[in-house]
Amino acid sequence: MLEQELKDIWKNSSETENIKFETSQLLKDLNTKMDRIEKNIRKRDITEISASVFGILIFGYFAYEIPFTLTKIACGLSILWFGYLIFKLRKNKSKKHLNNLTLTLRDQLNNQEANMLKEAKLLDTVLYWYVLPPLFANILFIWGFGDPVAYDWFPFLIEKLSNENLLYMLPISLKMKMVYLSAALLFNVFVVWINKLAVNKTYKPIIKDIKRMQDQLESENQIEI
Amino acid sequence: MWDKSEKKFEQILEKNKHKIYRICKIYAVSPIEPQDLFQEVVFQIWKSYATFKGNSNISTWIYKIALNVCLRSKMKLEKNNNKMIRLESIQFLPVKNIPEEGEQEKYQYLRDCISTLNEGDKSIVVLYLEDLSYREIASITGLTENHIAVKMKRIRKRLFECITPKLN
Repeated sequence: MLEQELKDIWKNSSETENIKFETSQLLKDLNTKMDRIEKNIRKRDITEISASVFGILIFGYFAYEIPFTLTKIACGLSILWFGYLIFKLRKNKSKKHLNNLTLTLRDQLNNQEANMLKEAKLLDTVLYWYVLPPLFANILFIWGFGDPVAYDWFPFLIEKLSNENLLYMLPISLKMKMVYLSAALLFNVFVVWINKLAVNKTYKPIIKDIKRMQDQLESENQIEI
Repeated sequence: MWDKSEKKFEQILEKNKHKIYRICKIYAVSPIEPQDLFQEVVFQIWKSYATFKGNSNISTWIYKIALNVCLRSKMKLEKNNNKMIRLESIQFLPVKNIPEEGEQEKYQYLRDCISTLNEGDKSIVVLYLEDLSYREIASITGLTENHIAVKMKRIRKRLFECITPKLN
């Protein structure tokens, strides 16, 4: 009796609003939303690759322009790293489970857990694949930067800008080398910190929620909220 | 062969809109409104519609999508939770015959009691209130029928204990 009463209360609860579809416009709206989402995904992918391609071009130019051996090696390493970055991000994306909402709750939760763990691991290990390789290249680049006069070389950009004061901005003196090395080090410490923060503040709570939900669904006994 | 025409899609929505909305009302947590969740469910149904093979019951398939969308929103898995797009073509209008205050009060009691359950139990109880069989609930949740039966025995007891004094 109570069972049927509850089902009736439940079913009558949607009678408070009249949901109307403008059928001629609905499919147009849905398709527009789908296009917008796909366009955003494409835009994000293009931005990601463009940033790396831009890095490759810049360091390619430096390798061509700058005569110092160590700096040339650093440019080569940086180019390799940018290539690896494209590969790594693509690979990580392709390994993710598709967001299939027609799966059962249990499968959907398992997929979400796997995806979140993968994302968290990627950010948690940022030191090894995103920070140390370019930092090593940066150190080599800055340290290997010699005196242009000794190599009879005048940087093209400075020549083009006709501003010789810019020469003093290059990491030629020990003081400038230390300034640039400190800046690179600080920036990379910040990158590691911000990623660890994202793991702890964003990913770990979500993973915990998913695990709790999985336990609640699987367990035959009451698990408190 | 399953008819995948646009007309059929609209018929499916029309037939299932209240089921979807009831679930959205339970899972919507401020600032997300039930209407926002409803629109997201409709969008996801449209997105997956081409993949529906017609092997299972369409209602069961819709329940899966609705629950998955609602749970993802609740767990803040959607990065764009705060910018859900309102579709102008879906309108929520007040009904002419507003249900009696007593009916609304009873629903509020039921809602309060459902909210005391954990997320896992909540997803099962809403399907039970939709009058689905254990077999259908099992196919939506991915658990076995026996498992559902055991869980339902406990959930029903807890729900009844909570609501009986309120209804009386």
